[in-house]
Amino acid sequence: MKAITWQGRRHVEVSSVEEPKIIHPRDIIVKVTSTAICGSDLHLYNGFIPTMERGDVLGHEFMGRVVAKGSAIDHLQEGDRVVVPFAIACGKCFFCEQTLTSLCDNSNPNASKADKLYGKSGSGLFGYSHLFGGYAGGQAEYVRVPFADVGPLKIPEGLEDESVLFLSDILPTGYMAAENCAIEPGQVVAVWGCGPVGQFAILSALLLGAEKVIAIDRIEDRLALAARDERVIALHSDRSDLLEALDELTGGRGPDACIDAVGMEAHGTTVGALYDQVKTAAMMATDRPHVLRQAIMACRKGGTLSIPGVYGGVADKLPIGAAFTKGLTFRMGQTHVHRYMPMLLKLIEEGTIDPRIIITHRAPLEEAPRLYETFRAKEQECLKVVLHCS
Amino acid sequence: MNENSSHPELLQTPLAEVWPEEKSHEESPQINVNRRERWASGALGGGLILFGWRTGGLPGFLSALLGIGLLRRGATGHCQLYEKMGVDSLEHRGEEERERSGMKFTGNVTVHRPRGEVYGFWRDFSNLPQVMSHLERVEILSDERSRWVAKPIGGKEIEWEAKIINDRQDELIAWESLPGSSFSNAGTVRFEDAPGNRGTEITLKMQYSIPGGVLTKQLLTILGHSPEEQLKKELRRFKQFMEASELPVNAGNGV
Repeated sequence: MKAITWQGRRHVEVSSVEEPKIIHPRDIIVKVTSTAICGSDLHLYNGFIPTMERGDVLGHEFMGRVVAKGSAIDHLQEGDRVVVPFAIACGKCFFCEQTLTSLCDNSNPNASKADKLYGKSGSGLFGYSHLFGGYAGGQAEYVRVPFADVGPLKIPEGLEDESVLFLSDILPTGYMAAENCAIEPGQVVAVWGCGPVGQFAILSALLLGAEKVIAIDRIEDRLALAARDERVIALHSDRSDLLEALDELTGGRGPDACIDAVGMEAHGTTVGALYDQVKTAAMMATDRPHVLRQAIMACRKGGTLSIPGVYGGVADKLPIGAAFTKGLTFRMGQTHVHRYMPMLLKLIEEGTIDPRIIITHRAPLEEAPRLYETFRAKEQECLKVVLHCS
Repeated sequence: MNENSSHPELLQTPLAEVWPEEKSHEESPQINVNRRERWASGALGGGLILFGWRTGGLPGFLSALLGIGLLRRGATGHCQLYEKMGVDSLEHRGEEERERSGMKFTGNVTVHRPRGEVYGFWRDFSNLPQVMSHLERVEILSDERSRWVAKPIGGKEIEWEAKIINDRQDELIAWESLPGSSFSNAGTVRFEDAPGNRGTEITLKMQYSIPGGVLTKQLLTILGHSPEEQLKKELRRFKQFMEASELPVNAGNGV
């Protein structure tokens, strides 16, 4: 079958690989109908995530039809349409029972590697390096989905792929980012990064009752998309007086909650951003926490910092003193996708959310290599790439 | 940590007394060189061999020969010259004895299942090979005795017979291997309720010896096969199997 494989830094390829097979009774095989390139795939593409191996199949946002199932799968039939959560969860461990599915104890076959790097391992992830299990991803014609009695969500026939595909990751991720802010009526939320997750975080913050959302990015069309709602105020991230501007918009208090939807590869023009670039280039640090620093400094006293943007290693010069002095709360982590899928599907069915607004590029799977580069370089106003498999 | 004080029942587990001496030690020459000296001998020996190889000729040959002798002295800890002279540079015999008598391992894992179920699954040793990747099979010989066969390492079959020396339902299993085993080991596995209804806390304590002792262990560690890491992985696999009823696998790239 055809699959998009990682070949090295900034090099992905359409490869011919072996088709997946059922291994365990709780597996299913999905024939992919639609898949997407995620912003976090760019961290892999740019070589920021360790333990990628040449030939690894990429992709963790995908949906399709069940074509085979293991003996323990009752609730799904061959031919069913499903969206698959990017985090793999066993459904039985302590964390799964608390619906903290991205922290599943039992889905990462390489957990001991992750233990060494992170103290404890998170769940396995599709197509996201060997540190997270080395599972083949969804930018392929077929995918083996383990623990399919827990993960995949059945989709009614009436809805088109593009409406529900983002339930696999970015829509729940944006939603959880907003939920982590514990928004109360009248509150102002600032969102760094107006990529797909940022857009959904903004949307969710408004749904959850934010009075005002401040959207921060350096790309004009992303800001424009965010500011379509009149409750959203757009700020260009390169302005030197960003913190003053945030104060100005909040009566000098600072935003009640700050969302870092950028993560480890932040761009910037300040001294701190330059410092990060030099340090990561010299292999002395792995992450560029430029946005995190700004968010810590900007946040109001007693406020919340919510981090959906991915960090993978070690960051430097975090103003922990500011965070301490202001008594900030930090909420972060991979999304517990399973927890949010049914509820968000309902919002899509009702028409409250239309996730299609972020799609800028549609193409057949084979064109992924070109579109990885387009998305990375943010050319052609690229915000979200959906790949269709015939 | 003083394990005896916090786990009084371990006192009843006569690990120290029953610990089988490595057989080879009986025949092998006595260690009479201390550790610092052994390392120095090894390093110097290696250097001389290298020097000899690069120099060539008779001087090269002689220094290489001397190097081999020193390397051997470092590796075995036995010096013939010392023996003839009646010298013994070991200051801390106790420490060396302990090293010789085996490695220790302690591992903990919480299994999100009731204690009775976890104990029961472990106690039927024939279950363990489907979970623990290093075990080929376990034959139950009687209520107390069992024969364990590990997957061969380097083509060499490793097996041992074990005897249960303490068994308390839902609480503890202690065992020791019988003399003549190619892998001498003894240990205790304890099962306790985890607080907050989180299942069962398992504490595995083991002593074992492997051919070549500490040197082999260090070599394995360098090669990424540290016995401790392997044991930790086995414990995790046990948990994963108990909880999720299957072990996570990726079928390799693209499969």
